[in-house]
Amino acid sequence: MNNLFSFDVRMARRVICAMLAALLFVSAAPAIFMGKAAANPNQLQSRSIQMSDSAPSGNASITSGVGSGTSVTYRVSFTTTQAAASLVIDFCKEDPIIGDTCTGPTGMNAASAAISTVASGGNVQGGGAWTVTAGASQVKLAQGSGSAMTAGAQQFDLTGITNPSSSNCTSPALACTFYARIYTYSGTSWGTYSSATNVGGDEDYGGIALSTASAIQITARVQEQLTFCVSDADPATWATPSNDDCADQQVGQNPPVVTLGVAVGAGQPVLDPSRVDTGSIYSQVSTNATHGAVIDMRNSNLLCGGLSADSGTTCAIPAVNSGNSTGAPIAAGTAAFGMCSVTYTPSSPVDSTIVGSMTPQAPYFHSGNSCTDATPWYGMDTTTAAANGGAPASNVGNVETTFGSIVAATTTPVHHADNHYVFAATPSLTTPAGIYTANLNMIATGTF
Amino acid sequence: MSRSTQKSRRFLVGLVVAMFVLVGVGHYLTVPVAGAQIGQRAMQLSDNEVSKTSDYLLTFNLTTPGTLGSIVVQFCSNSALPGDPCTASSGFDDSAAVLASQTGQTGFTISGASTPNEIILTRAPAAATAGHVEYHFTGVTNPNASGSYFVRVQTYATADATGPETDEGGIAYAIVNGPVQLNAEVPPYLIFCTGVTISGLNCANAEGDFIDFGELSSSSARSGSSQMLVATNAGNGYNITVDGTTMTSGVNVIGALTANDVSRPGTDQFGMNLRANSTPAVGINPTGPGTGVPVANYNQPNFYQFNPGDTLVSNPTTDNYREFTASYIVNVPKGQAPGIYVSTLTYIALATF
Repeated sequence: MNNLFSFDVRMARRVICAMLAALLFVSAAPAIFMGKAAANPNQLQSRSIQMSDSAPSGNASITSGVGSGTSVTYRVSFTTTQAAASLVIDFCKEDPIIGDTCTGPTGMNAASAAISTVASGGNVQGGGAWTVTAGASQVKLAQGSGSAMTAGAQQFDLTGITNPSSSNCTSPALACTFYARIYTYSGTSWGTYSSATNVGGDEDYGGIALSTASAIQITARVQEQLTFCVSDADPATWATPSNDDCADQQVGQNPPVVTLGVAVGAGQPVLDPSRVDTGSIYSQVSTNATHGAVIDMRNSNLLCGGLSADSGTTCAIPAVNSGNSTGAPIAAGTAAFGMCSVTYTPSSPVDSTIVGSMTPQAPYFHSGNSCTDATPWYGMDTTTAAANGGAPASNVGNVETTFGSIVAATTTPVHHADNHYVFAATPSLTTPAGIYTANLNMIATGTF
Repeated sequence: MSRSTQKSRRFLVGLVVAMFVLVGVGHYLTVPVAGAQIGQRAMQLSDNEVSKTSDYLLTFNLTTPGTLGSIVVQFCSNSALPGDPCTASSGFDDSAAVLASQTGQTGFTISGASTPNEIILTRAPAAATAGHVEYHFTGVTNPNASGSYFVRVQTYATADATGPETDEGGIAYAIVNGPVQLNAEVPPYLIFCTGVTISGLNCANAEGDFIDFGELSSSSARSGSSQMLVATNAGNGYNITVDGTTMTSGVNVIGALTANDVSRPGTDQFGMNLRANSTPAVGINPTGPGTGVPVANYNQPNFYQFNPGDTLVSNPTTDNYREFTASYIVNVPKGQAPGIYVSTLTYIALATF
């Protein structure tokens, strides 16, 4: 039959069946998608919890601060659709679905949580405006002296929370998810809430996923450094391969060997009672020692501290000023041996990396009578008693004692700190003829 | 597959790879559990020359109070950082080290488990307070090359340096090729001159070499003098000797005083000494900053002697300028043959360096 108004019973039956099926699906959908059946609850919008530290707790190598997972602040944000005077946040291992079984994340502890106000964050505020009732994995907030939540955006901080530990993790080990479930209530006593599986009477609700992750520990180590060299070449000539540096070949090619005197004819230099003969060496210290460094000097002639022709048994050219701990000038013809020291900065090439200086110490430096002045004073301390004051800078002594006499010192790290030393000697008429020597150890010690 | 889909797939693959890399780097960036850093730590050497045997004075401040049973002092050439591999310094050897003294936390001995580049100080674990400690080692052999070297110090609660460390810290120290070598030569010298007079203790002022006694007399002595100046840095001193003859005139001789004696006019005498005399009044005592003195027989006022080759001055050490005045006397008997009597004397200074 081909009539415009004819009725196809079979077709009609199909249409009716389809409509019934659609009706059944639509009515069931809210229960499936929401996971709960409440009177008039709405889902919280724009919900999140931002952690100040995502590291799991229980890290043995980081026990406090960022990376420890302790004293963490959780910034809670959401937008309510209805006014509320209390809320509950449950932290769960399993899932964010309201009403499901909830087990507190292993290692988590929110019992000491406190509320802290976020500027322009809404009604949930600290300072008594809202109160906190907290447990290891639950935080309950209620209106206190402040106002109730109005519908709209809310943001507040929960401080003092210990994150779940890595034991909470299954796999992968470095990304461990846990969940928060939030429910709001119109009254201040959390409706009929009794547990995470029975949250009755809530106004709004929402689930949030969070995760801990192992902190990336970035460690940069600066190891202790002390570079020290002594040379009779002027640092101004230290130019190959590096500029003004102990690694320079000039340092290796010019060991600190000083022959005092003036050559007579083609002969070797000799001392003469009519004059004071001098010779120079230089040292350089670079160190990152926190408490600085000292340079000590020891004389191989341990019995007399001067220049000796008999391997140190006697010093016919004795320490200047009788080895006193104060300096003095050396007069030609009065047998004496001494040293003065000044800081040194090569004028060329300019070393722009210099940091700090090694300050010369008495008796090797006397203001107004330094090596570079017209009448230098010299020293060769053989009298200061060894006294161990603890750190090397306090470990005083003289050139004959075990750790020597301090000739220069700094209390801070230095770089390319040069010192110039001038050794001076003169014999008397009665100074026995001979070859006089002294080996002087210049020893740098850093205190780190 | 569309171009946008391919781009998305590449992006996702890249993201996943990056995550794996980050996770891996995270593992490598982690460090072992470390103790607290010890403070004010230093290693002071008594001799920093290569290969020398030196004292090593370790000083530091214990940071963490608690049980202390052992201290590890490790010497390395590559790093001061505890936990890093330690390369022993070439030539360094602490096998013969002796713990000479200890301050602060005491009671330690060197453990038999120590190695040539690691000293383990051990004691029965005992409570320790934070603060300064010192350990003085003797008999440590320095590395055999110049440069920077490192010390690592770690403290443990256990006596055998096992278990977690308590405090740790690194130290750097420097070894140099050699000491500052100071050399100076004092050349030998001997200053000696003679003259009738030498003023100002200066040989340039020496004048005269002739003494005229005038006419000899049997009733009174005739006298005269000359001077000599000496200075030397001869470590074993010097001698001055006199050589020559007594006064003669042809075959006629005025007898020399072979033994010291006073002046006896009317007798046959030729003699000398180096002192100020009153009989007759001649001569002055030695002068100048030097310390030399005449030998006994020529050092007695009013007593004279002359034997050719006699030593007049013997000084065992160096001497500054010293001026000696030789006083001569001549006496003759009444029967002395007439003539012109002459004597030539030579003074010799001999220094022994």
